[in-house]
Amino acid sequence: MKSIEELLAGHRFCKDMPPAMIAALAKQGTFHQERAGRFAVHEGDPAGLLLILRGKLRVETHGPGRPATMLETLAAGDAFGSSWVFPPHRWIFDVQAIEDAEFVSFEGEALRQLVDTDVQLGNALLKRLVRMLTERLRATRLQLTDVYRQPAQ
Amino acid sequence: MRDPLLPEAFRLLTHVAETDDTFTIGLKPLSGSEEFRFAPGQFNMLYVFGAGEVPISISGDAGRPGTCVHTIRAAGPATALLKNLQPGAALGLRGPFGTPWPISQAEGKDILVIAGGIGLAPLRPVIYHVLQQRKRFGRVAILYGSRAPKDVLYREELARWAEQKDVQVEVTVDAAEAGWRGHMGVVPTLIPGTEVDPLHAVAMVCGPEIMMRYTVNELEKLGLSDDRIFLSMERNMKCAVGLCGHCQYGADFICSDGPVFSYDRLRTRFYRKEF
Repeated sequence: MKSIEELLAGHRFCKDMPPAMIAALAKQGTFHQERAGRFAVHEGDPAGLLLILRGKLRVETHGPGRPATMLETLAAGDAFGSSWVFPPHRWIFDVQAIEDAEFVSFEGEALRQLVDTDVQLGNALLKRLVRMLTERLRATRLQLTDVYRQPAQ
Repeated sequence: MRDPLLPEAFRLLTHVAETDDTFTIGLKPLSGSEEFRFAPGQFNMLYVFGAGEVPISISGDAGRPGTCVHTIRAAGPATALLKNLQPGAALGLRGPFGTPWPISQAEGKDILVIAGGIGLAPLRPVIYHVLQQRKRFGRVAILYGSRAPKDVLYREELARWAEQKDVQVEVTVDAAEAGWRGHMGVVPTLIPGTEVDPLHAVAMVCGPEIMMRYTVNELEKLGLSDDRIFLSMERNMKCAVGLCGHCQYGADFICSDGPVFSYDRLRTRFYRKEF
C-alpha cells in the first residue's frame, strides 16, 4: 500500500510540485475507497478536495420528482472541489461512485489553514485549483456549445 | 485513366441504421469489373440522382477492398434521400479523393485516435488498419465523444475494441440521463488520462471544428508537437479535384490538399474565423 505522499506524487494535480510541499499536503490527506453506487460527497456537507486515483465517479445534482441530473464524470487523475475556498464552504453537488473508486480527500478547513499559514504551498495549491476550474469551465462551454447537434435542431 | 469528374454507377448492397439519423451503406460498382481501393482518410463524391452530389468519407476497411463503405448522417436533401434508399438502388460515385491519414509515418509510434460525432467514420479505417497490424504500433488509445448515448456510433465495434488489452478505448457523451453508466464530459477532457507517450505519439483527430480546436489545445498541453497532430478538415467540397475553389481554405483546397492536414500546416489559420 502506497503512502498518501506517494499517491499524491503520482497524481496529475501535484505534477511539478516540490516534494516538501507534497509531504506537507499529504499530512492533511485521507485515503478512501468507495464501492460503486455509494456517495463520496453529499451536497450541503462541509466541502473539501478530492483527488481521484482509480475508478469513475459522477457529479450530479438532484431535485424532487425527477431523476438526478448527471453533470460530468470524474476519473483517475481528476481533481474535484473548490467550494472549500469561500463561504459557506459546503459541497454544492453530489458525487457518486459508478465504479469501485479510490481517492484522496482533504477537509476544507485543513486546506484553508494550510493556505493561510504556508504562503508558498497556498500559492501552489490555488494555482492548481485555478487550472482545474479553468479546464472545467472550458469543458462546460464546449458542452454547452452542443457541437454535435444537427444545424436545424 | 478514368475522368475524375465523371461518376461511375454503383449499386447499394447493404443499408444499416447506426442511430436515429446516421446509417452505413455498402456499395459495389455496377460494372462488377473493379474492386474499390482507397486509403484511410479519403472520401468519395456520392451522386444521389435527383438530389445532387455530396462528399462522404469512406468508413470501411481498406484491407478488404471489395465493397465501398460509407457512414452518413442525414443532414441535407441528398443525405436524407440516401437514408431512404433500399438495397438494389443505384447511385453515382466519384473517387476516392484527398490525402490519407499518415499511417505509415505513424508506424513504431503510439497512436491517439480522437473522434467526435460522425468524425469516427473517417477514422474507423485507421482503427481497422492499426488493430490488424497491431505489432507495428506502440500504445493505442481511441477517444470518442458523442452528443448522447443514443448517438454513439459503432457500439459493438467499440465494445470489441475495448476488450483488447493493448488498446485503450474511452467513450464519452456530452449529456446523459441518470441511468448512463459510461463517461460524461467533452472528448478533450479524456486526453490527460490517455496512456500514450506524448513524445512518441501521433494524434489523428476528426470532428466538428470547434471540438478539434479544444482538442488541439489539450494535445499541445500534453506535449505533442504540431507536426504529429493530424486533423481531417471539412469545407464545401464540390469538384473534389481542386478546380472549383469552393473548399478553398487559405492557400489550400480541402478536397485535393486535404482533407487530412498536419496541424503545423494549419496553425496560422486554424483559429481565424475569417477562413
